[in-house]
Amino acid sequence: MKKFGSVVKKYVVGYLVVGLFAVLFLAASVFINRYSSNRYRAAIAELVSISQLETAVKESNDGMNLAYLWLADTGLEAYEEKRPVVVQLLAVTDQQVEAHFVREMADTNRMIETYLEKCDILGKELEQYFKDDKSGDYEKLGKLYNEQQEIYTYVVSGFQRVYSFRLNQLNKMERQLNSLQNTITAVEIIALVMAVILCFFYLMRIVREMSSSIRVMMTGITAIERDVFQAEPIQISSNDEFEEFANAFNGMTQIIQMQMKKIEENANVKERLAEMEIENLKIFSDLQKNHLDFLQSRINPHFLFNTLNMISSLARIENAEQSARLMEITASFLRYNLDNISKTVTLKQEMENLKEYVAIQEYRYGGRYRYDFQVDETCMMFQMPCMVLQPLVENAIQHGLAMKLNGGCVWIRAYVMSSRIFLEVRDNGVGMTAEQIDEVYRDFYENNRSSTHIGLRNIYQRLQLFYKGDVQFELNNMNPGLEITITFPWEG
Amino acid sequence: MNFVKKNRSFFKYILFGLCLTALFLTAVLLNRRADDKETYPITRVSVILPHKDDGYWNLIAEGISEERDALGAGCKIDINMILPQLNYNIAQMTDLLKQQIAAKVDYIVVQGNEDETFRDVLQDAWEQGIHVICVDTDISDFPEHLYVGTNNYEAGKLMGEELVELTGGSATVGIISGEEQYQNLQERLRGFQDVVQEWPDIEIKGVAYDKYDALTVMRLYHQMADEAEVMVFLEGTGGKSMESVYDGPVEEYEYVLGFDAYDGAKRRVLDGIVKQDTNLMGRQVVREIEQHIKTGNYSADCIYTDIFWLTAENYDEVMK
Repeated sequence: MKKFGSVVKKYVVGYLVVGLFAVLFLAASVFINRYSSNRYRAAIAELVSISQLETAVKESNDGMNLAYLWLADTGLEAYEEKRPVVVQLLAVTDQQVEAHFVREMADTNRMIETYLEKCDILGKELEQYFKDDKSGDYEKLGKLYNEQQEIYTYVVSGFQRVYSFRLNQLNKMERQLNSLQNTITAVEIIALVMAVILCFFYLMRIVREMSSSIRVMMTGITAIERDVFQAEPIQISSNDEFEEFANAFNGMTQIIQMQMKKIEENANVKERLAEMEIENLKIFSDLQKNHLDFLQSRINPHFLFNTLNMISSLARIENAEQSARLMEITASFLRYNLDNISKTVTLKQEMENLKEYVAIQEYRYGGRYRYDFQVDETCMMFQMPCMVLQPLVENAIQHGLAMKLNGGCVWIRAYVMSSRIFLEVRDNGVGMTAEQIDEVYRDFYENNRSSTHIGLRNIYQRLQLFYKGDVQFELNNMNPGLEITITFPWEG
Repeated sequence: MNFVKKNRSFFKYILFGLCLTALFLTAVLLNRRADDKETYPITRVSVILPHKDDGYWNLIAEGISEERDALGAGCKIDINMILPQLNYNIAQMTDLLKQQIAAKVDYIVVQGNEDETFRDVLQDAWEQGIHVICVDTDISDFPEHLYVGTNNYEAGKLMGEELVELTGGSATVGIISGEEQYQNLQERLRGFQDVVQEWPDIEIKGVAYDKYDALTVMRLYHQMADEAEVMVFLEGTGGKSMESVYDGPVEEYEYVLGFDAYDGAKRRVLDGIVKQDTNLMGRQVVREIEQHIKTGNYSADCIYTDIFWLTAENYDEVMK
């Protein structure tokens, strides 16, 4: 689960950064101030120690002057007293030189060493002079004193150079420190202003981000109001409560869209079911009507069947064999109709029944027409609805060959080809025009009850129901005559 | 962390700002510290310059400073350049020398001269273990030391050869030099004489000494014009004085030749000068000191720097 920040946290970070800058610069300021004052104090301390050294050297030289110029023992004592002080202070200034090299100081320190060496030599000579009851080599003493004083002069000028350097250094340091402090102050101010500006822009950015998030959410809500399915998920990447809200909102939108889709699908299914129910009711109604028609038609065949059986018996009693035979065929034909009208029959049964019909027609028309049966034995056991072929043959005789006094022929063929059974009834009668054939087809599909092709349409519809639509019913004008071809699926 | 990732660009700016500030403060402090830090011990070198002129000794001083700067802050050599109050004042220079001895410096760089007191003090320095380096002018018969500068005999010969070329081997010549006790000037004179003595039609009318004083130069210059067609200044003060007094070619002499007066040569006040490589002299002094500190030896006892014949015609080429 993604963790989100918060608007409050963003604000806090902005202020913290400014605070951090403030603390940083305050600390830097304190540090630099301390550093500056320490440096200044150290420089002053160095100057003081140089001054002390100069004083000590001067006092030691005073002692030497007293000893040489006034031939006073106390002068040498004063020198001996001051010498260790000079050495000690020299060590201090040497340390300063080691810490940070100053040529003037280094040179002066070494000159003081030379000075002490000269003083020591002169001191020893004077001491000897005092021991020898103040007699000795005056020229040598004078030369040594001049050398010692010459060096002292160099030391004094050395101190002047050191002071000059140190004062310049202090002056330079003061200017540097002032410049440093001014720079630091300027940098601090600039940095703080920059921090505030940066913080301002940052906070502005947060506010703009919030405003933008709210606008995006409003756009998303409006889109859902307009069309819930067209609404795109709202995109917010602010990593705060707004993004969290947007994710939750998108989730809710998805749920609504899914539910709406389901409702729509259910409505479609219900609509289709209702349509199917209506269709079923229609089919059922048609079946009921057919059944009623059939029942009505059954009254006459039963009556005729009984009557024909009685007449056939009488005809045999009266030796009227042909009549008896005709009666028997007719009765058999009627029985077939009566018994099998709602059943499936084999093609063989259908052919036998057709032959009985043809026999009846032979009696009727006395060989005026010829009937040609070509039936493939392999498909004799094919199951099919009853009374399919007989109405077609009857149709051929009544409408195709009726006007033909001789030479009329009806061809009945049954064969298997390409996994389908073909049943053909063809005559060489008047046939049908293309318009008539189209009219027959229109009757099939439009279910026109007032049509003149009720027989054909009845066969077509029964076959469609029986074979669930997998039936082909074709009428072809053979000029002369008409050929009706019906094909069903053959399953071996 | 997500929040930081999300606002990465903003935090980048913050970080950059903080780094910049820290860098600035560090640089400021380090800069302050760098002022304090000098490696110790440091070799102390004292250079006693005889004269603060614009065209010769200041160029040597520049060479010394440039080479010292080139060695960087890590180099443990401190060079102090000092001058007498009066130009070429041997007494003051001797006193400065004594101060450096009292200060126990490590190296003393001086222009050599043959003054006895000066030599004695320099000898003291040498005896106390201070290394002596002569620049521009050497000292004769001085113990172990280094000379860096022009081969003055060759410089004098060059001057003579150029004179012969200019005059076709026929001229009367007046010579003005500095002081007699400067070995370098004597060597130049010797070199010059060695060349012209082979040309019988060249006659040296006289050699005068200006004591490095411009007024003396001009006085001698005018005095010698009656008997000499060519004026030869064997040291820089003569040429420098000429270039200060005149703007263009002079009429009193057919030719005026000198040393180190670059501007005078450029403006044709002088017909030609011997230009010494002053900058290299200064630089070479520092290089040799550095080598001596490291190895205990100089690259040679005597190091000659280049000389050039400079005229208005080849001025740009030579000065380049």
